[in-house]
Amino acid sequence: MKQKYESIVIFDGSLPDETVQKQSAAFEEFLKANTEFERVDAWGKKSLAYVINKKRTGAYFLYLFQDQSEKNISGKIDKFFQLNDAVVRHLTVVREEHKIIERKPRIPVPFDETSDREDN
Amino acid sequence: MNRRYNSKLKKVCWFDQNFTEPDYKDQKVIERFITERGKIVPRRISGVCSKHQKRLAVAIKRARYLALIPFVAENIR
Repeated sequence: MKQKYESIVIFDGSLPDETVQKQSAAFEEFLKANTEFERVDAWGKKSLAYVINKKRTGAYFLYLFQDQSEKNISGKIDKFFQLNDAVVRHLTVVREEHKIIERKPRIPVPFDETSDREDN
Repeated sequence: MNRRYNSKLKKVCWFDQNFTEPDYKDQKVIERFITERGKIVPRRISGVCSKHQKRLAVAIKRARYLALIPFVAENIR
């Protein structure tokens, strides 16, 4: 079954921009070779919420792609990044695109003071 | 007291109101539902419905792993 995936990769923020771009391009080519690659979003450099392996900043990249779920792409990506020191964190998940059905917004009934006073 | 009219106190799920779903990439929204210490706010306080609280918990845990939000606040650690 074909499924939509998304993958977030955090590269080491202390590396020069060129190296990060090279690393990102390498992963992009890996995805192009193994999956139906869609696009990549660069979020830019961000400070991490906590220190990971003495690193305080990270360059975030979001990759969108499709693949057959039987091919275990997540495992392949794990192997691809296993010995790469430039990668701080990476996470691959099935893309969640919930269908949002149009509903009437629930507006709370306004508090009627007069009726309450009558009761008391 | 007539409880039917006392609906001012009733909390409505934020995600239902805004027709959105919890997303781990949406840092600003997720930060609304964690405490200063970084804990997940219980739904009896935030008013989030059961369905969205489950999805929100998963989203928060993913965001924590990606260092978008802290596991524990910096000043407490």
